[in-house]
Amino acid sequence: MTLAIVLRCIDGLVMASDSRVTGVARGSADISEKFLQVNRDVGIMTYGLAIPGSRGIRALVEDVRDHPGNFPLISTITTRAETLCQQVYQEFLNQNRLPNGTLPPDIANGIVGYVIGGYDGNETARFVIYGCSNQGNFHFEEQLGTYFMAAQWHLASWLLPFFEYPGMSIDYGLGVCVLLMVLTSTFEPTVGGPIHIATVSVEEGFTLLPEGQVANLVREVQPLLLAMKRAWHDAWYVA
Amino acid sequence: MASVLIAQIVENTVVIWTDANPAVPNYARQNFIEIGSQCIVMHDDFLPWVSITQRFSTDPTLMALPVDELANGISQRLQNLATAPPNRVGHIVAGFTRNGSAAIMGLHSINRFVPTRYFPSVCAGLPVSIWAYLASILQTIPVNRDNAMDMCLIAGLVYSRVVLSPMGLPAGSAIAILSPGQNPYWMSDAEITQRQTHNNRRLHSLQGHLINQLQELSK
Repeated sequence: MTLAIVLRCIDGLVMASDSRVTGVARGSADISEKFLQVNRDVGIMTYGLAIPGSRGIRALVEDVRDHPGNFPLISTITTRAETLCQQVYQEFLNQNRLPNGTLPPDIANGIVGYVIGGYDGNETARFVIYGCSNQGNFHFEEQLGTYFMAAQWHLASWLLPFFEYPGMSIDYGLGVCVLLMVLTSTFEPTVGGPIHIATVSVEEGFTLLPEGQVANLVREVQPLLLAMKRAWHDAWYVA
Repeated sequence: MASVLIAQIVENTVVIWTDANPAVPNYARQNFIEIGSQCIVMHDDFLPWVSITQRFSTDPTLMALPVDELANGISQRLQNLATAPPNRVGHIVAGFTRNGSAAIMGLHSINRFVPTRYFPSVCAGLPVSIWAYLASILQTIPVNRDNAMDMCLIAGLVYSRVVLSPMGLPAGSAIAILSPGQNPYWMSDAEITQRQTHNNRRLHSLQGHLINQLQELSK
């Protein structure tokens, strides 16, 4: 399924996604392409049905790369993304229709969604988060909260308030994001594989963390995971 | 719809928690069918399935069976039904084997109702990661029947706050305990309320204990 997270920090955004795809021949594989850079300041993630999701983000990235002058604002990117996501989804449905015109249940009931995050430097000078899915005909809506999560968000959504604090920085948010990804991938079989994580800041734009840095973050959050377990035991016996 | 359920084996009893809507009397019992000292609990899209499954409670050939054979019997009946199951419907069959051991069996439409045995606990219905996390932490605390009920209630509080209420689904808790040779015992609303108050305090104090832990780490 996926866990897609965007945390709004005081100095920018942290965006993260796992890389597991399920429903393939061997059950699952950690090879999915769910997270791409769109331009200097913007990234896009997908969740749900892997094939249309991956095609959608790739179509957007190629279009922006080929016609950068057409996309000076994030609003122009989300508008174009809406059209492309609708197109690739419709093509995907048409390719998978059964001879009687119906769709297999896993596709008919399947969800595919997208999350765009970035810095809107040319219009509002704000860090912005947009989300959409096939359930809303891929209409991107701005997400105004301190975070946005999609797909397998339940455990992460519950645990986030224990670790976040008002005004947290990107550096701290990276650790929180990795912690939530690690915990969810431990307990949710459809989430897993290498974590793809990026930051968006005014100074550096969209920056995807190299694998080695993600591995370091996974090591650095181990004491936090243990601290949570200790806190549970303290709360259980003392209360 | 039954949104989420948890079954745990402890001290050779089965503690079963399911969500319950306080505004609807006996809400939880709609999806909880007693067969002597054993039971079937449904989850996911269970409402169209209630009348079919309720027949099992009066089926004399099922009533005398130990839990594993009961699960097989129910599985066969569900597979042979002329009515197609909803897209997703699941059952937990809980009770006791012929030698008196507590056991939990799961049957689900996505797996053609083939029985699967779970130990020491199972969570079914809504995303199970919250229970899986809680179980990994709390099952390291020595588990007795009392703790097991509190673990279920804490999970219930978390599911209600994080998942059920925001989705507009029923919140609240119902707990039954299966013991060998006895009819299921349902915890009273008063006891649930009292225990939930205590467990809410635990959840509230968790943040304070975690901050203490994080401060220790930063020294």
